[in-house]
Amino acid sequence: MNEFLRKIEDVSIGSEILSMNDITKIYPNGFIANEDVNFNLKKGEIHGLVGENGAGKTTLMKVLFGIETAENGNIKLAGEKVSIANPINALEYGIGMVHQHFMLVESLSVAENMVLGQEPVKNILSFDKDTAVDRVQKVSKRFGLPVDPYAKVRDLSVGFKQRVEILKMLLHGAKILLLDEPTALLTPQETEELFDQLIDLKNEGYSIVFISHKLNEVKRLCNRITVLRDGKTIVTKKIDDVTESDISNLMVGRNVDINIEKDKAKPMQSILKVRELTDFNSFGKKVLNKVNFDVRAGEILGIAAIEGNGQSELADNLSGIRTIKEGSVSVKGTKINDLDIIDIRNLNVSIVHEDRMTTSVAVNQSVKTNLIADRFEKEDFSNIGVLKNNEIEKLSIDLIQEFGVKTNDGDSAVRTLSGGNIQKVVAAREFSSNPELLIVSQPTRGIDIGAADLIRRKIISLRDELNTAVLLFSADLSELLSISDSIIVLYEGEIVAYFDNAEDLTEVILGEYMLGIKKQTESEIKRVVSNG
Amino acid sequence: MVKLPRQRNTEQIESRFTIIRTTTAILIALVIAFLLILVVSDQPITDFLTLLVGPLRNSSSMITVISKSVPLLFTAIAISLVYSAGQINIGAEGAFFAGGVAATAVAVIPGIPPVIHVILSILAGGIVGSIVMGIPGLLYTKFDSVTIVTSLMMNYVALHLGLYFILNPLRDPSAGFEGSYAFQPSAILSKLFNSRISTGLIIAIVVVFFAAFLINKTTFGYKMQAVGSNPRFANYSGINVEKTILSVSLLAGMIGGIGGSVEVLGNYNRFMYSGFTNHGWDGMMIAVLCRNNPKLIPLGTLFLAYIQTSADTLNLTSNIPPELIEMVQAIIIIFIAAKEFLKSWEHKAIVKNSQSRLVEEGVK
Repeated sequence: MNEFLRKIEDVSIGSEILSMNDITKIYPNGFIANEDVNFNLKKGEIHGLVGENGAGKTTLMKVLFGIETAENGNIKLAGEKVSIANPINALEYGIGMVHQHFMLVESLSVAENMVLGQEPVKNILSFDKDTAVDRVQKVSKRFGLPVDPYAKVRDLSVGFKQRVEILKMLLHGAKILLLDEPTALLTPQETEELFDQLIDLKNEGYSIVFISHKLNEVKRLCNRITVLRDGKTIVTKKIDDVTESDISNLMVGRNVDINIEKDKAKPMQSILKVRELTDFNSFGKKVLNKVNFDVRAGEILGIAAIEGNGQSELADNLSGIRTIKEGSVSVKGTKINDLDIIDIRNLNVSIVHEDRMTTSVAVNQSVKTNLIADRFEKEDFSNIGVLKNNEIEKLSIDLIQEFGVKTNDGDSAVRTLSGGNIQKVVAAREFSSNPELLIVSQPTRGIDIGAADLIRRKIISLRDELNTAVLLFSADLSELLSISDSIIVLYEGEIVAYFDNAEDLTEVILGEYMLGIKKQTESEIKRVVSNG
Repeated sequence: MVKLPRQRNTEQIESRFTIIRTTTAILIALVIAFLLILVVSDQPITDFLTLLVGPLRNSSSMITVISKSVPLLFTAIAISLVYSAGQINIGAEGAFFAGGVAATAVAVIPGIPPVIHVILSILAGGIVGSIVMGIPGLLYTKFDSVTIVTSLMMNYVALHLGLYFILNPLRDPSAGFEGSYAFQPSAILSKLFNSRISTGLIIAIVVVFFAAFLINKTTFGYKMQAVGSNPRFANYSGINVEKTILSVSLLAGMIGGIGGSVEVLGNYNRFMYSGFTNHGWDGMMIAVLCRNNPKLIPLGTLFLAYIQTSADTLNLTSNIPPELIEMVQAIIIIFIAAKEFLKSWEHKAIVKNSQSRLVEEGVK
């Protein structure tokens, strides 16, 4: 144990262990992520760090963990100024971070992953596997978090991967844990387990920073919260002094109606028909098994599933990104199995892909260029292969305005925009082509409440005004429940439940089906295939 | 009314730094060149001045600069097209050589009317060039092979196959050296204003305008850039990525091949190359220097042709080896290609700009 860890140990419970003062961080693209941010953490508390996406929460924690260097400000640990140059440095100061996207090597075992960076060595050169396993077992036992040290990380569920990440930080001596949206990918049941673990750690004198969008979780778990907005500290408060709606107002700086009101759906004829759709991954494992369902005009059908249960493959099969191997899919009666993406899109199908940055946009291209990606060959925007720049400019101005994209102009590169504004660009393109079928995946993942609210309302207005058939994939169960008219649950590539009325559902009920604890009967599931 | 200081956005700062980076690279290279000249030369000041302003001293040298630019414009445009589409296809060298051979094969046929003969010869060169650069594109789309490797190899295939034709069916036994039959007069490009510059210059200028128009104003250019900047995005948007890559490769090869044709028909009376001409490699250098922007390529080409002419002059008037100039060229490219060069300075400028924006917003 180094000198610093001892100092941290000596701090008494409830007094300040860490403070970040006047932190300013400016990214290479000129984006000011943090501006004079102040943040402090007490020993033995769970401190909620909340704010819209782009508010600077993750950046602040990256500065603390030594991934980013602040242009200004200082960090004090146990009252002493420290400079944290990199994550190894941060761990020496007892600070450990669990990222939103796990930093694990999928092909290595749990033990190998956990000792990475401090690998035990025997005979000078070779990796000492036994010692590694021994260390993992000790730390696992010590904190009452069982893991199998020999299991390959790729075989673990999301919840277990997260446990490995947390244990890894504890193994490396972290006393202060930074958790970046730890519940984003977890089921309600897994979330409960995580909370129990975190409370145990807190009671042992660990200090935890908990970043989350989910206000009910923050309210339940945290002792204090700090709200960030537009890169600035708004307030730090005891959790008992604020309500969920107070926090929400502080985050956005205005009142936001979280509950979306919508009329009952009036479904019409089937637009999308999926029959006996089966798919295999690159290892030959079945990822979709004889999936049958219909999506009708004027209806929003939600798909609920834990990550890795076939929903990504399903979305890509339907949009033509993945080749259909078995079964058939038709849009408005046209079989799309062998069609190119452009032909599928020409059937008035719009696609919002789950992978925003790598698929839905070209980040180095301008906003304008991104906005016309699906229609530059249409006669409105080009004539015998020559682009009509005036029409394109006009479309770009209109869409930027209609969807409230915050950008200097249509010529700015997409990479200079925030996540929420990038998703608005995607939505502006995909929602404005009068789609008859909209396949939309994770429409609001990781974006701010304001942008999310706009996108959700637009989806519902497509349903109401154009009778668009909407197939919605979302890991955000409250979103899924609030927008969908009916819901399908996928588990291990099979439909295990169909609810024709999403209003009666709760996250807990959905969770039971998503985890495979419950399954509906054949005849209940069959109702999702319309006869019309 | 208080006038606010001119507000820059991040992209403006970035493009300003691209210019700063390029000029700094050239300056550093020149300083190094001066130091090298200082070491090897017995008249360093004179020689350095020759390097800097040599070609400006007489009109003949200036004409040489322009004449040297013509083939480089073709290869630089060819390379910048494939690079824009994300394909590191370096087959322009082979396309240029094979294009020249194919043009020769047509140009030696007697009895074709003048203008038609030129067109047919150049067309033959273009088609063969297409094949040379198209094959690596096809291999990439069908077998996911690494384009930089396949196109490098294709250059050798083009070179040796071309040499085979020149040294066998096309060889003129009466020439007394290894060269093809003489071109028919009907196939030779005429000269502009009785100078040494051929009408190939006009073709080159047309190609530059065509490429700039294609990239910036057409749906095909849109597809190319979408594929080049993010192929997954292009595919998801409905663009046929494979078709686009293949078309760009064929087009680039055609331009490279036309370049080879124009060069041999415009400057020589028979095909006399016995190895790579380096026009393809130089074209790559220009494309990198100009960041694949066709509008900048004439500038980059003139720059390279200028220092190559300087090098030739130096070679005649001093004891400095021409290899020194090649080293200077390489140094310039190394600094420009180093994306992180001057990055921290750039970051400071961006930070300062953002902070002044904060202050301004505070004032409002």
